[in-house]
Amino acid sequence: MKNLKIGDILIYILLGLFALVGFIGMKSMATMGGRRTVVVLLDGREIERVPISSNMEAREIYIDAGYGNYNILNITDEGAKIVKASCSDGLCMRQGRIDNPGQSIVCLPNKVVVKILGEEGDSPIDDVTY
Amino acid sequence: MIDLKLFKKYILMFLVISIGLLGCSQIGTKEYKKSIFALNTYITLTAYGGKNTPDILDEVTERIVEIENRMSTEIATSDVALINKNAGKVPVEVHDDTFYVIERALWYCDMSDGAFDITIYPIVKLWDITGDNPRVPDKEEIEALLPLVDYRQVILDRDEKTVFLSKAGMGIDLGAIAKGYATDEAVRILKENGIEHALLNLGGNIAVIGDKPDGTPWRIGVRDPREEETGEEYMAIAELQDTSIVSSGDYERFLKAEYEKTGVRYHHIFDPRTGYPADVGLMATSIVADHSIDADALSTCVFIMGADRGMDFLAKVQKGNGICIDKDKYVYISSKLEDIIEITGGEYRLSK
Repeated sequence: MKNLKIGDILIYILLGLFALVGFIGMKSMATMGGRRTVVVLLDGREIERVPISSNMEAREIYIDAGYGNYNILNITDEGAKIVKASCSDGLCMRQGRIDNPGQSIVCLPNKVVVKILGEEGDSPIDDVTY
Repeated sequence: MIDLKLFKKYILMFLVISIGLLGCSQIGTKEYKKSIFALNTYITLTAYGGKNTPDILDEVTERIVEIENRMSTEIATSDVALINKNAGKVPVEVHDDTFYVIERALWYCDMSDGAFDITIYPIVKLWDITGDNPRVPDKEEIEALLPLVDYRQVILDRDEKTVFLSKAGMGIDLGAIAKGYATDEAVRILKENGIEHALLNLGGNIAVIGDKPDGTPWRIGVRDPREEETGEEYMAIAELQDTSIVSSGDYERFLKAEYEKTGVRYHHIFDPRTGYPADVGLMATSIVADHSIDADALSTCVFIMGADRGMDFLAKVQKGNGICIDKDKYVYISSKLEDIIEITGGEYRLSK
C-alpha cells in the first residue's frame, strides 16, 4: 500500500464507477424486457402489431384470412388468445393464451401466426418437439 | 506527484480492454430467423452466421418447397400424386430424391413388418382427419379398403427410377417420412454453407446443428401430450447437439367434435392392419436420431407398435433412440438417452 500512486487510486475509482454503471444498466434493461408486443402475420406478412401494457383495455382483432376465413384474436394485458376461428381443426383455439416472448399460435388452414415479441427471459428451453 | 504518464497508460489500457470485450460479443455471427408455411405445416429456421445467412436460409426454404412439390399427395403434379394416379396402370418415373425417400420408407415398412406402411393413403383419405371433411367411417368402408394397404405391392425399378403400385385404387403417402427428409436436406445445405449453430423446427420435427452459440447443448422440450389438462407445455427436456428429434402422438390432430361426444381420440396415425387410429396404449413418442428421416419414420413405427414392441424395435434397427409416454403417464426411455432427457412434468413417472 506504500507504493500506491494517485493514478492507481483513480483507476480503482474508475473501475468501481464502471461496475456500478454496468450493474444499473443491466437492471434497467431487465425491467425493459417486460415490454411485450403481439404481432400478427398472415401468410408471412405482418398485418397487425399491438403493444401489451399493464391495465390496457382488452382488444378484439378480426383477422380476415380471405375467402370467408377468419380468426378472432383477443388481446389483454395477460396475453393473446384466439377465441373464434373458421378453420376446421380449431387447433389455434386449443393452443390457448400465450403471454411470454417467443411463444406463438399458429393456424395452419388460415396461414395465420400470432407471436409475442420482447426480450426473451430465461426460458428453460429453446424449442419444443411435437 | 501525479504521474500523468502512468495515468495515461492506465486509461489507454482500460480502453483497449473495454473495446476488446465489446468486440468479442459481436465478432462473426448473428442470429437469423426465417419462417414459412410448407409441407402442410409451419416451419421456423434459426441459424447463426455471417451476413450471407439470409441467402442461405432462402436456399433452404426453396429446397423445402421443391421437396413438397415432389412428395405431397395434395399437389396434382407431384411425383407422389402421379404415382397414385397411375396405380394399377403404369410405372411412373420420379425424381432421384422421391425415389430415395420411397426406398428408405419401404425399408422401414419391411423392418417393422408392416406396422409402418406408406400405402396407407386410401385409409388416410377415407378418414380425412387433417382435411376439410373429417369423419368416422363405417367398419365396412374401412374393411373394403384394407386389401389396398400393402407395401409389398409397391414395385421399384432402380435403373429406370420408376415406381409402380400394382393395384388400382392404391396410393402412397410420404407424410410420415418426407418432413424428416426435408429436415436432413435443410441441415445439409446449412452445413455446406459453413453454418455451425442452427435450430430447425419443421412442424415439431426438430434438428439442431452443433451446440448453442454459447457452447451449451440445445434444450428441447418434449410436448406434454395432455397439455390441455396439465397446463404444461412440455413434460421433459432433452439436451441435444448435432442431432434430430421427432415426435408422434394422438394429441395434435384428432377429431375434436367426436372426442367431446364420446371421449375417443380419433387421431391421424393409422394402424395399417386395422384401418383405425393406432391404439396400443401410447399417447406420444419422441425419437432422437442423427438423421431426421430415421427419427421421423421411427416415431411413426414406435407409436403404432406401442412401448414394449417399439423399444425392442429401436434396439433392433439401431437407427435412433426414443422415449415413450403411455396413457397412464408412465415414461419409457432408451438407456442411451437416460443422461440427456430429464422428466419435468410432475404427473409423469419413469417406468421400471
